[in-house]
Amino acid sequence: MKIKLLLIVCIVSCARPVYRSQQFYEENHESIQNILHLYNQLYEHQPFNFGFTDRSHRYVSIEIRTPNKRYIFNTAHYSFNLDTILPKFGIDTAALRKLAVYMHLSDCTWIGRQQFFKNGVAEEVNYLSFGAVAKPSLFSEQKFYVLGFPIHAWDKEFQQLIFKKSNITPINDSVFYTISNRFK
Amino acid sequence: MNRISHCTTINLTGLICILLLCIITSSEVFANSEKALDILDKSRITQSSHWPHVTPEDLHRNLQENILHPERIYQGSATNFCGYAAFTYLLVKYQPEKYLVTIIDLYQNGTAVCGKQKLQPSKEIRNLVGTIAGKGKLDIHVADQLFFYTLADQVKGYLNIADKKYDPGNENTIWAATNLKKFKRMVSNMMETPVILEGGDILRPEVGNNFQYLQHQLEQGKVVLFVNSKYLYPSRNYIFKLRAPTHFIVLHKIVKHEGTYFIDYWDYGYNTFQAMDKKMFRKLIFGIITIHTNSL
Repeated sequence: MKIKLLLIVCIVSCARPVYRSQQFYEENHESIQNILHLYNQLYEHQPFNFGFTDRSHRYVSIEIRTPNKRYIFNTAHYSFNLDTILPKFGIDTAALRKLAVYMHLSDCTWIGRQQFFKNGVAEEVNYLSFGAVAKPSLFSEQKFYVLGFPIHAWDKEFQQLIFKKSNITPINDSVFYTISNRFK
Repeated sequence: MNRISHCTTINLTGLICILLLCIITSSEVFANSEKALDILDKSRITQSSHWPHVTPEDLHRNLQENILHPERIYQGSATNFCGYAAFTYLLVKYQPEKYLVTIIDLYQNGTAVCGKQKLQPSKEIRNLVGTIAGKGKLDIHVADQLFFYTLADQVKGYLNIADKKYDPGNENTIWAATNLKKFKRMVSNMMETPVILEGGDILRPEVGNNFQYLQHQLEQGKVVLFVNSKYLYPSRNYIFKLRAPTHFIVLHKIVKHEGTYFIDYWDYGYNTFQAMDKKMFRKLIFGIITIHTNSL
């Protein structure tokens, strides 16, 4: 029975990533727009990444980036009182709760921001993860299915450069997918 | 629906522990870094025919930034360069002159000797550096690209036997992987300093109480941990959670308070603060490397 279950998990998880990502994006398009909008608003005050660390979405982890240090508060590890801590970093906890609800409802696990560089200038991209890749990764970090949303539209030349040089595949002009280890 | 759990307030002692950890060890400004900056300022780096896609200006900028802010060294998005990044961080922070001379030699001559290690990257690697994209800040950190790719190309461990030659996309594969003894070898051969190693790629360190051992080792020198990053950046969204180390971090401080461990460490371009419970801490560590400070 366990072997059958494992086989089913493997088959489902091995579905081509582009279809899985495209399907997820199309099914959750409106929620994703709400998530991105709220995340962008919060990010303007304080750069951070945020997500759930368990399948029931009971515990959260937030990575706050200041110019000199990164702080990770994971409520699964310690009883951090985020209502006290986060305002010290300028993060609106009510808005963050709303973000968590949106993410929970569309089964997104993690949101963060990454940079690509075009002629030395940073082009920022929001990343949204919705699941872990099933393939076991010995001696290398776990990989996740990730949707990428450039903050500003990329020109064709830059798109071609990025798609050629990295493991990123476009879904449409403003969304791509990749497999990545937590956006670091 | 409130999904952020409301928990008990951190008591005053805990807050003090956290604040102590949050004090950046800025007192560790090394006189050597000033000398290194002086060397860099006086060096006349000219366009190298060995590295056609790396300009002297970009190299100079990255070298300067690394010496001033070694904590910003970034391994690259979706790469297996964590071992090389951790090693570079240590070399820049504690032997910045040696780092600088090595990189400048490597750039100008296409080859260099760092301690006992000869570095002679292949033409393929030299033509690649300066052209990568989609790796985050590593895209514009050409000195780091130069060094990481060179180390991956030249320093091999048993994990790399199956894939010794670079192919496009190998940054994220076994070609770039670093096992514990390979990391120790990089430190011993290039930094030429005594290194103590406990633990391994499969078996955990047999040092009794990990916390007490780490506290003791931090008094002896600099400590690097070989960890299972699934316990450092955990998620129960993993389908498989293999018990194997995957990542190198440089430990700065560790404090225990009411059964929770508060750690201050470096990785991914940041000094980082994090808490972890007993279970996570017990499963986290596979290797402990101590580099004696007196010999640096």
